[in-house]
Amino acid sequence: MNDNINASAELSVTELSSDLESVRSKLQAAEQKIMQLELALLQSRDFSIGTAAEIGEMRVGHNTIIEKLKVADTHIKNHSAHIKRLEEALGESGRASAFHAARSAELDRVYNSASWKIGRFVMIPVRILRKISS
Amino acid sequence: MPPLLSIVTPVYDPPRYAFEKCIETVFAQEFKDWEWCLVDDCSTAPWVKTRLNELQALDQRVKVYFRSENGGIVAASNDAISLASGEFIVLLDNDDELHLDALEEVAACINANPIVDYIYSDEDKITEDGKHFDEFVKPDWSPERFLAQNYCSHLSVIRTSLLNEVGRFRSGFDGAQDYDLFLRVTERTKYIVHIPKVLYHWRAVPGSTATANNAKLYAYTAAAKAVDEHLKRRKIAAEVKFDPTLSLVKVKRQLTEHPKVSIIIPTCGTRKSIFGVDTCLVVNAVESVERRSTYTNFEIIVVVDKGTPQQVITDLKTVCPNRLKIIDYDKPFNFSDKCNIGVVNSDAPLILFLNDDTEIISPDWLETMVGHISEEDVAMVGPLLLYEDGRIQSAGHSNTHSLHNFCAGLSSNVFGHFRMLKLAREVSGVTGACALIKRDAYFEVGGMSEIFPLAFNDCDIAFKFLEHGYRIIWTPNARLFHFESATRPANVKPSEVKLITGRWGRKINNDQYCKVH
Repeated sequence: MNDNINASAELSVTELSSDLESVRSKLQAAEQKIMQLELALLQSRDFSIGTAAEIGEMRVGHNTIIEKLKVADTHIKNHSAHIKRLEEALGESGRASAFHAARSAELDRVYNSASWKIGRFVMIPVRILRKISS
Repeated sequence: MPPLLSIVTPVYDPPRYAFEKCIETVFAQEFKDWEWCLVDDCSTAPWVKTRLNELQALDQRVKVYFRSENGGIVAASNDAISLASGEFIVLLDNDDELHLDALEEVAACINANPIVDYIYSDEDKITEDGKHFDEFVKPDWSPERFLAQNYCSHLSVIRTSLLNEVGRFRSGFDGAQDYDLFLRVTERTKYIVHIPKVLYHWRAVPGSTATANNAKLYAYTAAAKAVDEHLKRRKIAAEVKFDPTLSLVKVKRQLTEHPKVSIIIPTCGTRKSIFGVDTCLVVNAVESVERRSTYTNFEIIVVVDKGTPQQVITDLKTVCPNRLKIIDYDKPFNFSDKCNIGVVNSDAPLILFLNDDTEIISPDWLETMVGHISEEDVAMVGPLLLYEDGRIQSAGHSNTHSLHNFCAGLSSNVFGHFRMLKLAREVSGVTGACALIKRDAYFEVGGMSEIFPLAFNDCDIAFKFLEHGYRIIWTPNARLFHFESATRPANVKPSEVKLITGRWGRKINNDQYCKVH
């Protein structure tokens, strides 16, 4: 009777030990799994935060480029306005030049006309008197 | 709509030339929407009353009140505040000078930050004959540094409603009444802005605190009292003393809890000659932690590379038999990955990364660092690291010009700009060679980034903490040796620079705690 009880108890202890061992190994596996998941979590968070930081950096770069473009745009507008002003001045100068040429030609015609020459001839004594008096 | 700025000046027998210069700089301000509230605290010199009456008659923006009896600077300042009708109070002493753009800059700052409550600027000192010296390039709001010194000082501008809410100046803090006021103001608001320009010239007259730090010792006693009361209001247990040698208030936090710290040491078992003795670095580091630390609630997790000599493991178990965990690492070298593996193998709320080429100097290093990290918004704390010859290896990180260890190579006796090497302060990062980090914060930001296997992993995690609104503290009160570059080459690859710049370029050369003019 006692032998049977002892044998049964030993069997239970063996079974319990085996169960305990199995639970321990499952626990260990679970712990390993948790660690792997924690590592994956760290990597994922780092990836998302790092990517957000990179996007932030790109945004800063983008804003810098936009600012530079704005400055460049202002420069271009200023240059265009300046060119327009130069073109207008050039046109004005051309017109003045043509006006000047026309007036010169008219003067030449006057100087070469018979009436101008006769007039100059008639006025010779007057010019001589003016020179003497001055 | 520009804000009305009320300049508040208590007057008591100022040097006449200095008072005239003071008047000159107020009337020369570019910004015109100001009023000047002057209170004469029964000056003995007869010219003071005459001059104040002249000023009042000269400009209707000048308000003058003559006290019937001498009440001291606190009473006179509070009377001057009572005269003020502006939205902001500008504090000006009767012998100092404002920069001509001072009020213009303050108004611009208020317009750009309409909810700001407290503004301070950089300052310098000015001799009796008008020579400027001792320019103080201040950090942005740095509450830990503010516990050690009233670095905000001049020029200070406070929202009038908040000033009234905190009860204005208090008696019993003579010589440090402004420090006490600023502590009470900054407790109530987070809207604090630093203008990084010299807007105030502090007259150095014989006997003033501008001339010699020990000219007014009573002021420092009052400063320590102000800090002590401030910490009590914040329910932070600490021993507060005034250090006359450094002219700093020393705050030593007293721990009410001793949370467990997991000290994680990545190693490959390197040996090096230290102090002339061939030494296994990791064994030396672990032994120094075990023998010298007075803090007891810690474990040591050593992450060892494949190929580490078995003798190293045996020696580690000998020097630290009870709280050592060895984790094998059999992947190609990646410092960040080794740190992360160490962290997931720990369960403590605090993690301390320690290089194997370090050695503890201060027995209370952990208490000091744990004390700082116990504040809710502090994620990372670093100590003062010294080379073998006693020079500074790292006093925190600086991002000014480039990422580097601040003051590396200087003597540890150097005080630094306005004693910044002798006080605990906010920094933009600390070296990963020794860094205490909150576990929760570590997980929140994704730990050490494996894209930085060698360099910049500590800078990267620091930037992540700052981006998440955490503070990082560096303290000179925890000291370790760092026998640097014994275990890895110090050269940084261009690809690593490109990577860190690609993430955090906007923060580099823009260090809020380490500025240059």
